[in-house]
Amino acid sequence: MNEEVFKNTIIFVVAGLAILFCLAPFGYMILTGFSRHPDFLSPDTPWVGTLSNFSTVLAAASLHFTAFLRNSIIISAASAVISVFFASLAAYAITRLSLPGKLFFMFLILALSMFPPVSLVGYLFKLMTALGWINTYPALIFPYVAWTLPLSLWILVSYFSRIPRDLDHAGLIDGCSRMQILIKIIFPVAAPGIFATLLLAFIFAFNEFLFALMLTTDHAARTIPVGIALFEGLHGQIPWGEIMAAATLATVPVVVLALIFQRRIIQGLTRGAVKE
Amino acid sequence: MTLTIEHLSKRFTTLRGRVDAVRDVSLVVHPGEFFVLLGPSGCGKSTLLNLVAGLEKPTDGEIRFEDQIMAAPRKGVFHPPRQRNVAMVFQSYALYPHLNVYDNIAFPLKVVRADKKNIDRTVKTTAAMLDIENLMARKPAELSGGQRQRVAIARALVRRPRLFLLDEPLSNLDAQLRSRTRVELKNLQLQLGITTLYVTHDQTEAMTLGNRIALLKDGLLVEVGTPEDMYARPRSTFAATFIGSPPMNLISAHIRQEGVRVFAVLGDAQTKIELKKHMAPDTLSQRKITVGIRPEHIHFSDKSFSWGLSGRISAIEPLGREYLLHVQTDCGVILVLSADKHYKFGDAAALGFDPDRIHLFESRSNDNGIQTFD
Repeated sequence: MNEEVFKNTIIFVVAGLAILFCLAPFGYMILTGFSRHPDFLSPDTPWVGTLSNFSTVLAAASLHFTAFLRNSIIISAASAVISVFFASLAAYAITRLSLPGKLFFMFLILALSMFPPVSLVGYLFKLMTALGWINTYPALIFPYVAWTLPLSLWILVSYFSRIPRDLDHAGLIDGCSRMQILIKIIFPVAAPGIFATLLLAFIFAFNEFLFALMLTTDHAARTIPVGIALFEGLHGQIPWGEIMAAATLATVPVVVLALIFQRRIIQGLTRGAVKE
Repeated sequence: MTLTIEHLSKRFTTLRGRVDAVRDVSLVVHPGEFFVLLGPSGCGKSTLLNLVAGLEKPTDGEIRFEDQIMAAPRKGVFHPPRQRNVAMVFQSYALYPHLNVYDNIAFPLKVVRADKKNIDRTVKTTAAMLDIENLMARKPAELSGGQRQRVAIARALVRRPRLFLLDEPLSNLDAQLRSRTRVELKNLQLQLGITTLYVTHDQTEAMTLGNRIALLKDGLLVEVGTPEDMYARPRSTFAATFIGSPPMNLISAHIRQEGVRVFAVLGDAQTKIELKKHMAPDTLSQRKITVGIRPEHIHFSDKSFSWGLSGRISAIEPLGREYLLHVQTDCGVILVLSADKHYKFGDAAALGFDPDRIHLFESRSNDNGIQTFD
């Protein structure tokens, strides 16, 4: 066996193991979702396929699954859009204007983002109660925006700083204001970065559990992770099949978004802007 | 349009300290003139251009377009680029990568919300002028360097700016394309009559393009003049060596007066060049000076001139039409241009030069030329 083949084999084996390790829980989730007997892994129960778990989850009004899904999508999308909008304004200012103490500002934001959410959630609960926002969309959207802003900002700063300064200068000379440069030049050129950041912020908000658990009380604003977690115990036993079916359905929006944005993210839109 | 720059200064303050990029520069560029800012990298020529464009704010001084003040920190006046109606071509071209050629050219007109039909007509005539009509649908990434350059120029000219600014626009092109574009650029500027400010570090570009050249060094304006003037009568050793290729030879010397005759004595070589009376003002006596002579004004001679230099050929560079010979003499290496191909490495060479062709500078350390001759 020559060295090249050996190297490739190792790469494939290790990559295969890594993929298996990452995807096994998903495989288990999907199989359980489609299984008549949730504990199908025990030797004396055969795996029998069924769609009943999915139909229950989607149809049973008492489970409120569709309401959770709608809440999750609206809240995550709103937080992602707001977060990326403000982050891009800040990233533009940080990368383009001569502000004193930029670096300090960036690290301050990073430090703030390291605050454990669990230490904040108590105060947030008091705040939202005082505002009367408990169990509404804003109660989650505002914390999510604050929580995803540092991440969005750091990603966008690194993305914007790679866009040549000459493009801004050309825009200024051609008669744009700073805001027009951001909208007409920087946004389209940075589109892959913006979409990637949007997607990340969306996923972060979509997966968030703690705030959603504390700041919502029922299906009016409760999101999917909390909704699924609270499935258990409703019927005295843990409905594994339905939980797994719901979890499978919950991954659909994220997977669809990733597939839609994939092309835009990969596309190198800065190609040909300036001579490298 | 007349561009007036008065006592303009720009100081950058960074964490590592202060940099005076432009120091007390005063210039007047006449209407329709092709004016070149020439200097080595880091001399402040691009900063000066950015100040005129409004991309940078001056620290002191004043910039006027005709009688309108565009920037004057002491008077608290600063107009951003979009109020100046200037156009600029960047070294990197800076085309908008997400727009095709048509939209790139139309961009400055769309920003000011010009009439749709008008935009279309202007874009098409401008594209025709630069011979890029067949590229309209392409994205910048699909263009060659030369094509991108043309699109950048078209985008700059489409608005009929008051002032046309170019920042080393040709330095990313290959040599052949560069000399062709140079000619086209000059014709285009002549045809449109737009006042033009052109930044370059290439003295050939400066000589061939400019009606006048401003030579900069360390943020200071060294001298201003027509290319012919700068070549024939440089007023400083910096101009003497920066303009003309290969550069002028500089030899340190001092003045000696013997009765009524005045000589320039070269280095340690004890070679004397007699200076005619009108050449040597009295103030020159006994002072150290620098003698300059261009490589093309030196000739080889077998008979020894009383004021010649002798040495050995230490390197030969064929330039095609002629040869550039390096001659090691007691006064250092002297460059000589010669069409004669018979010289070989190590040959003894006697150099002679016409006293009417030499240039005198006060001294090398101080760049103020005192008098030149040709």
